[in-house]
Amino acid sequence: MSNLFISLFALVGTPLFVIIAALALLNFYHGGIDLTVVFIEMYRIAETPTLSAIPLFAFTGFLLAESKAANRLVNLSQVLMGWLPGGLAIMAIVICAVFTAFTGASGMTIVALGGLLYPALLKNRYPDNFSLGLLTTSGSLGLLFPPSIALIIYGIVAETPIDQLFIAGIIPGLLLVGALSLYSYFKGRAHTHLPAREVKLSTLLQALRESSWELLLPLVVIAGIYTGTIAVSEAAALSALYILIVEMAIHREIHWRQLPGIIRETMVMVGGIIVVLAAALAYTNYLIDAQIPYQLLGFIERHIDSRLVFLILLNLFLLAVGCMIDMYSALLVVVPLILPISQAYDIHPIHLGIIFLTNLEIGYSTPPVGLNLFIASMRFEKPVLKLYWASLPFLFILLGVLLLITYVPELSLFLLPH
Amino acid sequence: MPPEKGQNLRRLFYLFEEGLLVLLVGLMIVLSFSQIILRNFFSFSILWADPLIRHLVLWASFLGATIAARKNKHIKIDIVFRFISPRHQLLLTGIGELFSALVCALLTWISIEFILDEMEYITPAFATIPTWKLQMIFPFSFGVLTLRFLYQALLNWRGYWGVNRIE
Repeated sequence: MSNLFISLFALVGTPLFVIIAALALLNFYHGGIDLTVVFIEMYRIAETPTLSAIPLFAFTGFLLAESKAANRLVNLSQVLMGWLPGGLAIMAIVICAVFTAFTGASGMTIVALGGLLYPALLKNRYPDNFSLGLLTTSGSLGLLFPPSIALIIYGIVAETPIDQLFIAGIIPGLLLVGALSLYSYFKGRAHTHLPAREVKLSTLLQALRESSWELLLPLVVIAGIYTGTIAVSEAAALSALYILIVEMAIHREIHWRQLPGIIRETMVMVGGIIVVLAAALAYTNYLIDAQIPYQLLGFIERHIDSRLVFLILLNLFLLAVGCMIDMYSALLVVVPLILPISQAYDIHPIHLGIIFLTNLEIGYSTPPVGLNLFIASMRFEKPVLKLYWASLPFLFILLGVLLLITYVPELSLFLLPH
Repeated sequence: MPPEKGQNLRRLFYLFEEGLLVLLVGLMIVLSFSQIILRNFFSFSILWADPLIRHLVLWASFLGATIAARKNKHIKIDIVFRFISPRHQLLLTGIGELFSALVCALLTWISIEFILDEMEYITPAFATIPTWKLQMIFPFSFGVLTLRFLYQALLNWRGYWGVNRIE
């Protein structure tokens, strides 16, 4: 009863870490357990090995957002892909995905890239609704690619190797990007009339040279992690330092005076996630102590006996969660509950992670309350209702791929070392 | 206290918060980088660097979380807010913030008890630094958060009634 009362406060905009911490305190109190256990659990933050990857990758992303890296990439992609029908739209999808991989689906992709890509798409005669839908749904695309903070968090919560999650996400991530790209290709062929222009080699080379410094980053990071040369947290430190030097000393687009502000914004975002993590650690401790996941499992096993039905319900449930709650809180609160259950249905924890993130990614743009829709509505100054319609075709495509990713576990698992 | 003096004091505290944050994150980058260099090129590593980095993350995160409160950037479910008038949002936000202040006050108190416990059986976290010193970030953060949520609740309610008068 009082649990419900506390949860009600979530609806009036109470920070989630407060709600979760309050629930943990209440239940420990009822259980007669010393409340200081909350801080024993919170202090485990300082014992989590890969945790420094989160602030460092986020810092890298915020630096990139503050610099003109996005302009350079858009410029390069226009030169590279301008000849292909739908080329600009496809590159917009790819750039959004890369950007989101670095910044998390914090709405930054839509805010930072929307202003750049939306006019560019319209100028190239892509329909208005198509352009809006594309940018809205692409705002959370890319969560499956390294160095996605969401994947790192899943790895920490589910105690699953993060480098393996990074590998597992590649094919599903490419499928999502590929499916939207294919749609863009056909849309582009129908609507945009390309002037038969030739790309001069010198223009191409210049565009390539301008963005070469940033292009090197994903290559080095990904190669480093995949070959096992460097640990995830080391890759994060290298990225942060590298981009810091590139944007400050080579491009000179970030002045040292901006640094405190960028660091503050980074840590405000990361701190917001980590306090939820801290509170969730305490709450999960209670849940496991009270054997809630096992009770839930018993209940579900009594009603669902097929793996397929379980997966369908899981998808529906996660879409609803992704649409209502912020992704990180969803991961932190729901994963500990679902993980033991899905293991009973023989779902690989890494596959579960990929299903989870794909669902949350799509949930972000799902009407009526997906967050991306509202961010895009603010950014592009369009009514939310218009964005519902604009995103619909993209959502159907993404849902199709989601089914594929969910029911064909090999897509996520076959690249993994056996 | 005259309002200007209050403003200055607040700015000074903001400066302290953000300066400390820059220091922590800077140290995090430098230490992580030197660990990579030392390990790969000199086959050597500083034993206390890794635990120190993890504590830097802890401190920077909790400091970031206290700043998030005054920037109104905490993760929350604001579905309801997408559909109600800005004025009523003020009222409801205030209620949520008062509740947050209460919970944070409770957490502050418990964290102090926690640290007093830890001081009785001193365990070094790394090098010779005892854990309780590193855990001081908890009462600090939750203490500041309590005050911040309280202050914002009052501001929001003032806004709510203020708008009411003009109508």
